[in-house]
Amino acid sequence: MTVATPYASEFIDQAVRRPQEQLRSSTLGHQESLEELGEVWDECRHANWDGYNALPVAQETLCGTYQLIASLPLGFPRPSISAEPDGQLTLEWRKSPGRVLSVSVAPDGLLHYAGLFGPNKRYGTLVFFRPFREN
Amino acid sequence: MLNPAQIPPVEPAELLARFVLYSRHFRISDNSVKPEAFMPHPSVMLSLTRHREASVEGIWREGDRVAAIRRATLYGRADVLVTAFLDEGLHVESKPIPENPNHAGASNWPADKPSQKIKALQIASKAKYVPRQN
Repeated sequence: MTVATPYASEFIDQAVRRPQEQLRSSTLGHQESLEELGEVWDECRHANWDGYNALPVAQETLCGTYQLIASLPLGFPRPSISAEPDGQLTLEWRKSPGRVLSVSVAPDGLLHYAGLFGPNKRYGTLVFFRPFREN
Repeated sequence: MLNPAQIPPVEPAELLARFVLYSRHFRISDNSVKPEAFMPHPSVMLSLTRHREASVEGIWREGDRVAAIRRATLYGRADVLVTAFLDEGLHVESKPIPENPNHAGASNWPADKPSQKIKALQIASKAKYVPRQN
């Protein structure tokens, strides 16, 4: 049985683990989603963007959605991005009419989700991040 | 359209139309409607138009009118039965206005966001998207 020496551990940490973590947090793999996010933000940052008096999407919501997309693992299926009348942004993953997950990003750092998984449905709220505050 | 002097109550088997005025509220890939199109607005009542006694042209004229006064683009409409709303515990009532005797509203939405989302998801899954042909 071999035991990794401190030198080998450090080597593994620098050569493998840190680059992997950097790659995982890199936004390069999510460029298309981030570009779509920018388009949605541009379309929905003014009131009544949906023609039904929708609230504008706040900058905090934009930043939170950016963080959420950037946190997705590389290779994760690309979501479809949209917005809701209360000003929250949505990420949707859909395989079929009965298999869909929708996540709303709120400006206060909460994620509200709802999903249909065949005969099952799930919905709830998660705390994802601290609200973005401009310095 | 319905006779403004004799508006019947909404029945479960009726078909309703939700006009889609935002391009990302429907999916081009398979011509389906997204749940965002059915999320209640800050006013809490979801605006709908009854198909009852309305021609296809009449429904589209109403959609064009709604889009025009809101300075928006009418991309299409989502057709869905009243039962889709009733199955989610929502109320659908006739809310006629001078310009549209077929106007209706879906109310009794829950206050919490996830509950709203799951209801909108269910309704959207039962809706049929009809694109506006120009």
